Amino acid sequence: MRPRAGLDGRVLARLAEIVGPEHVLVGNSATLVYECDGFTLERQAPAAAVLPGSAAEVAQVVRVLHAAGIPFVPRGAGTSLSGTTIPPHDAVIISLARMNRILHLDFRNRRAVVEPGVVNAWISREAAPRGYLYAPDPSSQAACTIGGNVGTNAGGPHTLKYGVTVNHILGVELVLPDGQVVELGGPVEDLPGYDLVGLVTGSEGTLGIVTKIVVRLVREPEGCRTLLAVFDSVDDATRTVSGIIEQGIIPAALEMMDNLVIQAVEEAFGFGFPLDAAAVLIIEVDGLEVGLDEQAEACAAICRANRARELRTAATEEERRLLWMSRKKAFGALGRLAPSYVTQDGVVPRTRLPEMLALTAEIGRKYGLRIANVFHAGDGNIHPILLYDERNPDEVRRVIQASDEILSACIDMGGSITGEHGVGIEKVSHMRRMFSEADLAAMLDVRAVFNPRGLCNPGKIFPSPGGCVEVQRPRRPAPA
Amino acid sequence: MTEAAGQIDPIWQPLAAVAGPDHVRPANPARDAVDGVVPRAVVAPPDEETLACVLAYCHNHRLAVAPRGGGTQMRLGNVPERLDVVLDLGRLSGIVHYEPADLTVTVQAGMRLDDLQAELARHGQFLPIDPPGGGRATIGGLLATGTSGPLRAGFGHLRDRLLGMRVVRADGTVVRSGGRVVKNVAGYDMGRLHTGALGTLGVIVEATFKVQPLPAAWGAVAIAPGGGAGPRAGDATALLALEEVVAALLDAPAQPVLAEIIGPPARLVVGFAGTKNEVDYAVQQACRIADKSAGTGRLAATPLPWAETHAQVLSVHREGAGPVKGRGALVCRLHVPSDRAAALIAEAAAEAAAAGVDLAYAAHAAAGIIRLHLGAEAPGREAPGRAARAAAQPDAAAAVYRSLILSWLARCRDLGGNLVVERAPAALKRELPVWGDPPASLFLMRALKEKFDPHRILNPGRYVGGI
Repeated sequence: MRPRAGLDGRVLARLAEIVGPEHVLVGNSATLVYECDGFTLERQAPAAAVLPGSAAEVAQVVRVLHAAGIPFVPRGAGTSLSGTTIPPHDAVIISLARMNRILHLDFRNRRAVVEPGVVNAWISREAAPRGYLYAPDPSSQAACTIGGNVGTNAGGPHTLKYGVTVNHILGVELVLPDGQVVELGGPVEDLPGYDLVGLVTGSEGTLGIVTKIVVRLVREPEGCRTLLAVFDSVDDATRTVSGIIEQGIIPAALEMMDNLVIQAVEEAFGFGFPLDAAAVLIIEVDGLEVGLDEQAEACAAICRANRARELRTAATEEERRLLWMSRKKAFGALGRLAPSYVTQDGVVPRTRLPEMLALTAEIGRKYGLRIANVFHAGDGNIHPILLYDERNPDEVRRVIQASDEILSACIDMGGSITGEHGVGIEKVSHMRRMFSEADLAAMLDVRAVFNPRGLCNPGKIFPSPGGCVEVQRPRRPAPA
Repeated sequence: MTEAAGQIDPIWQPLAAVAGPDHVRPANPARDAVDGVVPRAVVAPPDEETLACVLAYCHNHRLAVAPRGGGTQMRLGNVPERLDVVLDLGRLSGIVHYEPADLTVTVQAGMRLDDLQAELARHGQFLPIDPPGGGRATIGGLLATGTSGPLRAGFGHLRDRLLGMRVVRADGTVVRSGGRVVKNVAGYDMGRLHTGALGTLGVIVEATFKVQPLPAAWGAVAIAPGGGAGPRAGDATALLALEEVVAALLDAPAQPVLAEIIGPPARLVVGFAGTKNEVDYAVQQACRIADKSAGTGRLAATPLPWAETHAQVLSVHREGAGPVKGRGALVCRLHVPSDRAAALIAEAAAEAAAAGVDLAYAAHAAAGIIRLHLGAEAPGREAPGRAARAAAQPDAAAAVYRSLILSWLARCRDLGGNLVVERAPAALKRELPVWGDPPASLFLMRALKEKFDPHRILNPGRYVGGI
């Protein structure tokens, strides 16, 4: 297969020497899977995909590409919802998928050392027999990798109580965009010097490629209570969320699903959600057994005060598991409702949730779109899902406009354009609305230190200097 | 502006023009010097805009600036290379935005922690940080120094509470990062970069935090050999026994919000927070674990009132204990894996005793962070140690301290950790690795400094690697 321009045969041969020819993929059929990630409005074929098997190989690959001036993009499982791993033209994908070993579990110091390709859920699976877990639990945790989680500073339902990825990372090994390898942080807390681990976490692969990660392990809670509260209005549900936080209760998770989502997940998983409910809340409290009933009752009382029509407690672990599976696989289930959908990821102060949800519904009506909501209510992190058919160009245009309006509203309410999915390419054009030129210049100063030639994941997060960036438009229909 | 007798520094007039004459004063050597380096002026800007103008002026004229909050940690870091202006943040001391129902608060950097806590407490909330230096510390100072206290075991580090930040860059540009919401991944987390950077990349002027509902109940348990003050000679054995208790406690369902090894005499203090039922259960659990670990009856657990116990732990961190109490010559902080903390304290104590130096210790046992206070005097009159003899010979005393610090640094290094000298006489500091070993990423840190403060006006020389 003939490689694309920019990546000549000599470079390709060198890459094959480093990682082995079977781990260099060239040509449209071989690289198809690397054309896009979970953000399906854009796609672009990479010049090649390289799958190194070790940090040393990553460093050598990067040195070769750096010397040849070829841009490259690190990639984990490709579950990004913002296009963080979509390659710019002629870029090489560096997949960390083969580096998937848990190197060390240290229960006495409550930490683990893992390679970037380790799937999120594997750590908790390995730590569970000893009563420990890795706390950040993105909905895609059965597929997404720790390296990718570090890149996007991933969240998840249980981050309400336990914090997001950055709160659970102690150190990383980073291959800089020129191929140098450097350790940041380490196995020990609060090492002196600038917090470069905190800087790299959430930098969406624009500061280098993480090849090793030291994560915290958390003691599993002794017990939990999982409640399902059913509401006849979205407003009552969101007021309940505000009420719980206002009362000073911090549940382990506090999630909302609206009617469209309920219908889809019920059809897919048959949990027994009432199909006519306007919204349900999943409320989970965890901790010591002696305190759980008290905590659960406090939450239940707030639900009742906000006219919950029904309250159920997961009676068995199996019921709880099914309830969480319904929630975490809700995105997949929505495929039943429309050929395509875009998941938004705005954040508002929790007290503004009722207002924001009402506004989202209004925007849906205005643009004639169906918008489903399934989100981390306790964090104020909304995920409006805009359903559409990619064969209808007018509908695609309306989806983009409605998304834009939702994110603008988040900014106006003092919130953010992304709570956990990242900026990627999707929200580049919104960065100027959230930050001043001076704010962005400070961030670009950081990037210039780590990634002076901009070869590592170019075109992500930051708008190009001067002028407004065009709103991204689909070039090709996205797959259903 | 008052003028010092007989001398008018040429920078006063322009600074007064920029900041307003009432906001500039000459330095008081006793109060304003940093490690003996006396600044030429102290400027206390009334607002962020003025502060930005002052910094821009200093940037343009290459004047070295040391930002100051409550002044509780001005002894941290290397001796300043140079110092012209102390920038007092004390007038930026208000709450900018507080929405109790959102559990978020935005405050100006010069606000004292006590004042913030008082306001939060009115709504049943608090910022879960308990700096050993006390609540006189300001929010900006706590962030810049990356300070933590015992409560980090339960509530994390202050940086884990940080949601957004406003910073004035060296050239006077005001920049913002993060926001006021509890989840936000738009752009780089610049707040983390400035946290613990000792003001060397910019001056923090405002920060937003996730606050915490005040727990309904708190409880504490002390676990010590023989139920009270054990003989100091038994400290090493006691420490190793306590280490096992720490491991068992951290592996148990009721997670402590505080787990501190303090001494001498060696004891473990654990604290719990939650509902009354939860705390009662946790206290019982701690007593059970202590009893079980003390197969030979060496350890005794005593439930204690929370407030006094917490205050006592903080006081050991702040001023030491036993013979060192309030008379420490030098304080250093060791960072090691948590399961090695107790053993390391025992080793350090043995080395200090052999060198004739008194030692007090307080450690965040769950985090592996140990604070050691070294005494200035000999341990006992009957057996004068080397430090006592050395007191008459400062160079010899310095050599004793230096060799202890280097030995402990080597131990930390072997464990993948590091050591920071938090406090020492300026003359001694010049001979010590104040920030321990330079990190592998020092070249990146230097490059960041070059980008953010090209003229090196912000705390020049005081930070890691002489940044």
